[in-house]
Amino acid sequence: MTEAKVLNISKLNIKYKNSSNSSFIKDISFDIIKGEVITVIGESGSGKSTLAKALTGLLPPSAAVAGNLTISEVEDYVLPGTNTVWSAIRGTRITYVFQDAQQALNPILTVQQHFKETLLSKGINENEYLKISKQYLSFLNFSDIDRILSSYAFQLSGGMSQRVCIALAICTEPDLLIADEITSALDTVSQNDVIKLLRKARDQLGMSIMFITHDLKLAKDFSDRILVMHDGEIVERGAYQKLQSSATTALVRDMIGIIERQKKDNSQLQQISNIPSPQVLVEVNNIFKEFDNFQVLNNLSIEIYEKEIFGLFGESGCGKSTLAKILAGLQSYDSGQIFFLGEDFAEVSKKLKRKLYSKVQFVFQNERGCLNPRRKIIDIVQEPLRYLKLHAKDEMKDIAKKCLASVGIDEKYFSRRSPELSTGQCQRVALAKALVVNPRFLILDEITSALDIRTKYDILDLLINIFQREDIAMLMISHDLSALDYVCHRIGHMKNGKISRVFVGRERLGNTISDSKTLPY
Amino acid sequence: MGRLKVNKNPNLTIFLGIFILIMIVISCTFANAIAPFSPIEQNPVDRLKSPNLTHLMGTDQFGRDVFSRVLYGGRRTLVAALLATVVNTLLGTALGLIAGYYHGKLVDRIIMRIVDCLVAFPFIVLAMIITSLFGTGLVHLLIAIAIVWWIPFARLSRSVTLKYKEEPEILAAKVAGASDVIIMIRELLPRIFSPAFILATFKLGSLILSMSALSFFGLGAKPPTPEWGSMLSDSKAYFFQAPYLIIGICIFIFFTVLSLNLIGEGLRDKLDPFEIIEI
Amino acid sequence: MSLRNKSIVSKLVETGVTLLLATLVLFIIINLAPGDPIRILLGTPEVASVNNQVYQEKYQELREAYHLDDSILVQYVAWMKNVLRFNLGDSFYTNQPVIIELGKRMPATLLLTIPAIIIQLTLGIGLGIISALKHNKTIDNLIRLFCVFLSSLPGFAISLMLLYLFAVRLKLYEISHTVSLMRLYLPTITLGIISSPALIRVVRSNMLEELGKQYTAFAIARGVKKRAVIRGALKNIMLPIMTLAAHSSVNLIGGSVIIESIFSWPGIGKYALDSILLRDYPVVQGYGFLMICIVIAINLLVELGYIFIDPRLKRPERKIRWGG
Repeated sequence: MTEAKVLNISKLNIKYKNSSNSSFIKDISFDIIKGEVITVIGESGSGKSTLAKALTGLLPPSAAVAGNLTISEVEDYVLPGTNTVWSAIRGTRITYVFQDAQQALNPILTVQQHFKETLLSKGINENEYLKISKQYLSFLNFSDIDRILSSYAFQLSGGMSQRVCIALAICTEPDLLIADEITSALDTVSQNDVIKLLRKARDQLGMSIMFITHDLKLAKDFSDRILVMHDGEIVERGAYQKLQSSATTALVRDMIGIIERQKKDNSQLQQISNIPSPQVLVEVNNIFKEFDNFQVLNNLSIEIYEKEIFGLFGESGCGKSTLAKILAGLQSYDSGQIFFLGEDFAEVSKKLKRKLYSKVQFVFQNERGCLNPRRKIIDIVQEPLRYLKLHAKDEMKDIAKKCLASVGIDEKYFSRRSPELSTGQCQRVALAKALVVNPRFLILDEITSALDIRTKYDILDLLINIFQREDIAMLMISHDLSALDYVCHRIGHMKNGKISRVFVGRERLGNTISDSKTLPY
Repeated sequence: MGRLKVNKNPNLTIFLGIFILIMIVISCTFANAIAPFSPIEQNPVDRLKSPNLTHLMGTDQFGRDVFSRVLYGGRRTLVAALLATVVNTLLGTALGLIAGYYHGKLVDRIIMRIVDCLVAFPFIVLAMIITSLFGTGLVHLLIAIAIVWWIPFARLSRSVTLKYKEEPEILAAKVAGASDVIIMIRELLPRIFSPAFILATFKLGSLILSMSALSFFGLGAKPPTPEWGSMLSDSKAYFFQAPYLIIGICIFIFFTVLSLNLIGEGLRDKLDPFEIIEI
Repeated sequence: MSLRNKSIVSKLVETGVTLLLATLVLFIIINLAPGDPIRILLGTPEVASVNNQVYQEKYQELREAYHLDDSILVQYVAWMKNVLRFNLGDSFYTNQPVIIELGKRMPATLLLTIPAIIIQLTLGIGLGIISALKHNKTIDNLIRLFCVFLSSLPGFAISLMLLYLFAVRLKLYEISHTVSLMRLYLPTITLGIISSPALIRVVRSNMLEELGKQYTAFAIARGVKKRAVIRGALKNIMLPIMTLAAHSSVNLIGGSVIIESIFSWPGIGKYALDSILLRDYPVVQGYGFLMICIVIAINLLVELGYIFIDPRLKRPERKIRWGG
């Protein structure tokens, strides 16, 4: 059976003018069939976003694009197209939705004005656009449409703005919707909502969807076909089942292996002692924090025990990063108390505070950004020792070396710099830098969210390894429930600046949390 | 000129700017070797001659060779402007860094209050007041410069600091136990360096322009020292009679400032390129 | 009190504090100046050709009248009291109140600067936006070249050349000291043009930054027409442009001193410059005070404009690209 092809791209090559001679995207050809969900998957830097942007002419002028684009089997274009060509394609044929919805909306326009400029550009008249906008907003399950229409982007939550963006993208009824990592800034519950809505758009409007992600698990059930990209090339293509049975590249086999392993739920956590010791390490009582008239933390209290990994999730903007920064002493709080090892943070002297804080370490999401590209790895790891003056000078290097080895960094990398390391290795170095001062409490802020699935589980395994070895408690913040699931003893759900519920015990995993019905959204 | 390639090739722009600047600096530094005549010796026979092959830029009211005087005068002007810019860059950057780092704290409020209050003085007006009260001359002009010229640097360095303050790398250093001073010097200062350097090249240029304008009205250096500003104010009276006197100096000022602007533009394009989608 | 009213009140208070501090700075600068102002006022006994005894009495009397033996703060308060009664002292030269002398020349300056500001803003904002929209095209390069050249030439040199060209060569411009519309066009246009490059640059880079943001890309991607995309970006740079425009107007007002004296335009700038050469201190001080007030008033207007335009009043301070 031959289905109608919405789009065909052949021999797509993209080169960046000021970089080296090799093409960034090499000879890519594929087509998209009407009503199909096609997923492009790959690690960061594999070229999947560049590919998608090339399909809408959204690349900056420094990218040299070559190739042929056929739309609906009749309209042939040679890339790079002219602006006239693109303005005929964009919106009507192909629309692109971005990862960060907050950034994708014009901060000074209301949602209604966004719809107006979109629909009027497509020849809808002034009288009708409002009706159409309401229709699409209700299609995307918004209930209080009038309030949404008069809102600005900063008044919407992450999930809501992403839904608004999708509504804006589909209200011109394009044939193909390109969704570029649109779920990766969202928590799992909003992620599921957005996926459901995309599916609804496909089923009811007959739209094709090109879904770009680094998360195979997300793509698995949702997509008809999967294209796996690596280094600017498509290395595997086919349905998930086909990839499962016949994938040849190690990368794809690994990704699939991890998903399947997870299904069986043989995570190593069971080896960790089941009951955390009842000794309280960090106690937070009634913390309040206000930013620009916005109550970020609102009467928040938690206790974290010694030898425990506590997970924390919640929508972006719910205050979880603020809490983490306060616990690490990077931010002040308005009122409340924090006890660490029984000492009140507010009471201790400045000198003692610094000593206390050396027992709290922090690892960030953007591991590469934390490592100075001009310094050697071994020096970076020694920095905290130097700052805190905990050891004699000649010992420092040995301690740093030992620490790097313990996080699985090979000796040959010690004198290299961060740009020469892979993302996973950078994250390991960041962990080593935190562990080198023997902290009692480690805060991990979204440390796995930029990683591809294989590296993610490597890092999670490393965390479990560290946990078993050291006398340490961890607070792990993530919007990725599967990662929390994998390592945490208890998982807290944060909402409106406080912990709304704590999930305890192993039986909750995979059942209660992932099922959005039980969540108080 | 054909195809204009001002910003498509920042290296070329920078190279051109550096080339012109070096030429000017060399010819001013080695003025005693290059200048064909003495800058101070008067020669009444040759007064107010139009430019010719012997006197490339003509002669002034005392018959002195303008070209030689411009070369000698450049030293003083360039050194004074450079010194003022360096001092103001350092001062402004340091204050902006402190203000940005302690954003919202008392020290930030004090520094920004001073900035707000000094911004109310247009530079020319301030320079006029100071030179009128304290007397004209290069030193007083430099005092006026020192009062307001650091403000753009403080603003720049404060906004760069605010931008990077919450970056993971800085927070990571904080968590690692680095003190405030270490963070400011080791982590933040290197990031301020290049934008401040670019701003300094532009500001050096506009400082030379402002100084020459003030001198033109007799508020700068005093004759008989050959200095571009004082030469300008001397030549003012002869403008309709001998416009080349002023034109000669202005050509030098123009090329000096142009070279600085070209370097600044080129560096900025290189370090802060804009990538926009064509519509 | 609503957030908006609260902001207005706090802005007014802030402006008041700034005005007080700025005038205090001015006052201190004036007081630091060497020389005894009373002696300057009276002249030395020989010059004043009066009996020494009478001179001394008169001297003491005046010192007390001007509170010169009190602390600087007391003197400042006394000065401020006078200022609030519109008393800026008398000109040494004409013995007329400074405020009247300045007021007489104010219309000429306004006649010169207001059209010049309009020219500057039109050129600055217009060319800045065109340059950003035609990024890296020939027209952008031409505009940038224009800016580089213009900002490398001394303003007085440009004015002199134009004066020479129009008055001496083309005989299209009359050199005199009168105020007339026929004498206005040249200085106004010159002033407007020479103050525009800085504004063009910053408008261009602010606009380019907006056009590089993701909301622009998303608007393009969903097929919004070019004009609407540009309008969306323009709305966002309205607020920074207001600040930048105010900033450039202030620079233009400073620059008007040069233009007024070169074109012999009898405004307050030329008057102040002449007074400096005549050592007429009260006039210079009065002029400084007037300038500070104008600058602070312009800044206040912009801040208030912000409050009325920005829907995101709750948001933290907006970033402006200053360097251009």
